[in-house]
Amino acid sequence: MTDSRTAAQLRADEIRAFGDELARLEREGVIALTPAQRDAIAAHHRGLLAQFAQEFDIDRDVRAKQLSLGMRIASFLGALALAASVFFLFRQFWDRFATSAQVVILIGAALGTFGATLWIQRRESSGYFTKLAAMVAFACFVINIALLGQIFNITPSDKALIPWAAFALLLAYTCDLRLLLAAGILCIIAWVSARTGTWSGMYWLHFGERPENFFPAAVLLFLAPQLIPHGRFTGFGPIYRVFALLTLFLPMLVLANYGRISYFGFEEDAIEGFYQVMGFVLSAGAIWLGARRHWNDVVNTGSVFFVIFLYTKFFDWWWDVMPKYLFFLVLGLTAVLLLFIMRRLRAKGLFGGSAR
Amino acid sequence: MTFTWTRTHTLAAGLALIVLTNAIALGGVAWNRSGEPESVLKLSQRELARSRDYGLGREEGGLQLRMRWRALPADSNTDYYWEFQGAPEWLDKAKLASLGFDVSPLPPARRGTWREDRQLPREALIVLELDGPAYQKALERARARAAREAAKGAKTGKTGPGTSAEQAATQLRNEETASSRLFAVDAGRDAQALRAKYPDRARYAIVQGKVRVTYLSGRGKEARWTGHIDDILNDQINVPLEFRKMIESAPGTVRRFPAAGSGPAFEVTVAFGRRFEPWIVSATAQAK
Repeated sequence: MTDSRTAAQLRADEIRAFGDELARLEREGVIALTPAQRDAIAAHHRGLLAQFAQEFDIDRDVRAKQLSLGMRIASFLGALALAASVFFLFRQFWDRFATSAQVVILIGAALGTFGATLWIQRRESSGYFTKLAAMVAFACFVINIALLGQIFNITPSDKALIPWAAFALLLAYTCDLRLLLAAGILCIIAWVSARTGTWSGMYWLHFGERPENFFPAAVLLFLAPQLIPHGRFTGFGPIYRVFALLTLFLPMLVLANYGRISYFGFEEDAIEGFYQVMGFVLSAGAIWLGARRHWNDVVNTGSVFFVIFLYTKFFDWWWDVMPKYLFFLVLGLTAVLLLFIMRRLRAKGLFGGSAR
Repeated sequence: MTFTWTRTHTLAAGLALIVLTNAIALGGVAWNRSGEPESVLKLSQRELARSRDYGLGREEGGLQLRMRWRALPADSNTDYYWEFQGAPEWLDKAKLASLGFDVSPLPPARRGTWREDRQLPREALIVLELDGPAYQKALERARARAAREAAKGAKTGKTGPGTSAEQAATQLRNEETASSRLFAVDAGRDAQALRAKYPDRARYAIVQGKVRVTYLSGRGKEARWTGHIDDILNDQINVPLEFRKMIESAPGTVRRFPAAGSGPAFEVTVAFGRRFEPWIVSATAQAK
């Protein structure tokens, strides 16, 4: 039995593929099911699809799936636009209310939109409108705390990121929404990095000026799906891992080219060299680990950063000394070489299996 | 028995999160404003600028007043020293060290590098002085400069519009009637020590700010650490509805700053609480 819409959709796709392949095998004379067997399979699948359609509003065929993709995009853009609309609505009419009314409106909007999200989720199986409502609820809660700060001249604090992250994660896990999971993860990255930065004495808002502040957040995010089982939430594990790798490799890429902003007190060249080596080693390690654990997301992110680190190095070495046609030829040949290596690894079964 | 997370749990958790977060924020506000205010300053339009009303700011609801604080630089020849990036003369090496900065001399090979040159800003308590000795000193400097430029102009015959003499005279007029009299005069990490040093709560407010340090090693000059006040954290003060109409209707308040010679359009009493967060206690329109 499936727990989420994504898992139900996956099963429905597998049923459709199975039906197509079975028909092909029967046409080619490989297999011949008795009418009773065929009817039993068809009845079972019909029942499952009907149940999925009722519970999760899944796409039963390819055309429905294409339409569904359009609806997902519309839902995403609509959620962002509605959240922005709420923000500007508050800004525009804010001055017409006394302070006590402003506080009541802010708290009421956060509570009301949260309640509405749960109400919509109970009545809607597709999840599109739930996503819209959840984004608006999150935006209202962010605005709630931010405007309280403005009304009462509260000193800006990174502590606000904690309830924002908690609220985004609550909505994400309740409504199975990856967009809000990403929002929650971004709040966690900002808070952990800000806290890390303050250990050196800096004011928290400057945490982005020392890229090493992001590394603890990267480790925590990478470990999260290992320590907390996410089987029920399709796609959540990859989001944690991809954000973890981005939080690791992007600061590393900056430091590999701009060692001056590191915490380390060594010579700039030594710092940049260290992070270049670390970039290669860790991105290669990510490819290896992703292949071992069947994490396509980790393999892909690792591959992208390995190539970026490699091309950055090529640029440093050869951009000025090589004719441009030769430089780009080297880049192209390197890509071909990487393709050969990947193909060898795939042939050996290192990339086999499906992503979890 | 296994625990199953239900919709009721979600509802309870969400409501608790929203209510608790708001309660903590509002509780902090109540605590900040409880008891006697830490300080109370009577600020005028000279010290409080209206928020900008262009771009996205045009649609911004509410009115914000920004404290226009200044810092008196060590160099008295600096033409005119407005608010930000103030490098005050009192923010010397010893003061910077007391704020936690590493001010040990840098080896020549390391001077001017980004990392050493820019230790990141640190939080500090800043003392703001209203219409005190720092303002008087700024006024004296403006008078001396105006007199010096007028004398120069009389000698060379250049006294008309656009000349240094005319600019210095305008600057003096601004300093006397329009410029902010709110100066950052000290910084520290211990609020009690600062208050003991500046006991007048109607003239000195302690606020939270950020201090930045820079290593100056120009050619032919002695290499040294210098400090800047990077920002005052709560320099935007929200104007509640009950005061907004008065401030907006005061003659001359449509300008962000008072016009030179016209005097400020309003006076606002600002209290600073236990957490050094400000709020408006009263506001009055100034008679023209």
